[in-house]
Amino acid sequence: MRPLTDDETKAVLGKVDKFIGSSVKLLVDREDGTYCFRIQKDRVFYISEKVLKVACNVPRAQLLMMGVCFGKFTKTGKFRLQVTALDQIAPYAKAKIWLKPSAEQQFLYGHNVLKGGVSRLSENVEKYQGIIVYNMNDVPIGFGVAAKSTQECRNADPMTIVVFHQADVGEYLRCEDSLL
Amino acid sequence: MTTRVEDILGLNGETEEVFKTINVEKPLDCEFDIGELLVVDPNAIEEYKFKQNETDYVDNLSRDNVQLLINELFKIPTEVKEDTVVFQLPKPVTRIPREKPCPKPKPLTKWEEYRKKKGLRPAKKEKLVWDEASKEWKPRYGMKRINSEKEVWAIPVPETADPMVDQFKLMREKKKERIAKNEFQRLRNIQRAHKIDKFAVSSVMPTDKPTPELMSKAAAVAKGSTASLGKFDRKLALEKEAKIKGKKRKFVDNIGSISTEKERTMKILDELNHSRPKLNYARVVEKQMKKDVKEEIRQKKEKKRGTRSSKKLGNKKAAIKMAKLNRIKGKAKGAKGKKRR
Repeated sequence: MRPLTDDETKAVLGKVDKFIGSSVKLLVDREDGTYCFRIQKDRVFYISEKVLKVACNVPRAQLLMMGVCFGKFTKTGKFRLQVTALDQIAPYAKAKIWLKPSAEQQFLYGHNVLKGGVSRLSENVEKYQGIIVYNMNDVPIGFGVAAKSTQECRNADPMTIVVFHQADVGEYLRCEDSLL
Repeated sequence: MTTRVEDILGLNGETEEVFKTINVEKPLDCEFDIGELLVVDPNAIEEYKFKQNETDYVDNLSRDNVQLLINELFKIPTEVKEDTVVFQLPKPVTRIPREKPCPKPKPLTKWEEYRKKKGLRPAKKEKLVWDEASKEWKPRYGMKRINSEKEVWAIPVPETADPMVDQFKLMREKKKERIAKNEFQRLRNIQRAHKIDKFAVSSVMPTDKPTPELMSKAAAVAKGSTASLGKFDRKLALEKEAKIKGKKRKFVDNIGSISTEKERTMKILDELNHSRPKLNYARVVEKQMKKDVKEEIRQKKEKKRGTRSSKKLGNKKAAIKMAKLNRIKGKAKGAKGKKRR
């Protein structure tokens, strides 16, 4: 376990920035306590100072996880967000999309979101912006990348892909062993 | 014993069957590019024949097409050169994509970039220049050029200068300096073109006063500068293994000062915010598009209002009706007024 280097911090925050914009500041600078990012075996954890101090007592080899796992670095040094970060990101989401109940299952199985399955889409979504996916009960069920801007979506036909799937809550079951 | 050619070839009267006709007929004409010796057959494959016997079908098809190519070839006038019949192939028509990617434009030097930015055009300079002193045309650059340092036989000593300084030496030094400066700029341009951030600085730089420590370090660096990092180099009798230690990675303390860590993160966040473009082109375009659509709809509505004559007429009718009503009302009012009076 160690703090992130500058490049790593840039990669992580840059990725989160795509979803919540300048609200990243609120993740780093919290009023209810000090929170920080730590890296352990390529995984990036978002952790409070309190828990961090406790976790320091566990040897590195044995330490499996702590705090909230935000994602992991690939071997090529890119950062990938995981579903586990969803609960931290969702409250600050800038771009949102609501799915119809029929399309919800498809998304939870790991498929992209088609125009036909969209019930609502927040305004001013840019192309390739990070977008949080909600179901009709306003529960965040995953996130992805907007394949089209809001304006383009209006004129798109029902079979076009609107959101590229990145992570969904279904992964808690599907990727149970690799998710941590 | 007479031997016929047919007997030797083993074809007894079967010539007509064995040698197929040179006239090949196809529903669609083939396209030729004789320059590339290319035939393109646009005819569809007859599937039932193809399925019966694939190899035969392909063989026959290719024979026919080659026959067509040969027929086409023999339409070209032939020559005899050194006892051989020779064709002169026409130029190929088919355009084949180039093998290598297009060459990239040469990166501009710093001066060229400046010139482009300013819109300056290089002044046209003649190669030969008139030399007043020798009354001769002389080249601007190169051997026997005008204003050559070699031809200067006297230099007036400036009043402010030290009279004991050798002016010729000074001139030579100045020229050397100019050459060095130019070389430096040339290298800098190459560096810029390759986008190297800094000049490569070796860990061991040449010095005037080498110390034993520095020398051993230089020797170690030189040893490790082969393709195998010095693994297969011949060693001297008492030579020690040269070890060059790499830089060790250093990370920030895990639970040092979290407030400084927060500062560091905030700094990176600021950088991220700065790198974000102030003007979002996609959004601006989107807004403009929305505006345009609205404007179009409005214009259409206006146009509709203008053309609908019945509505206009209706309005006119309504207006007349209203006027009549008003008149009646007015009369009534007037009557009332009269009564009151």
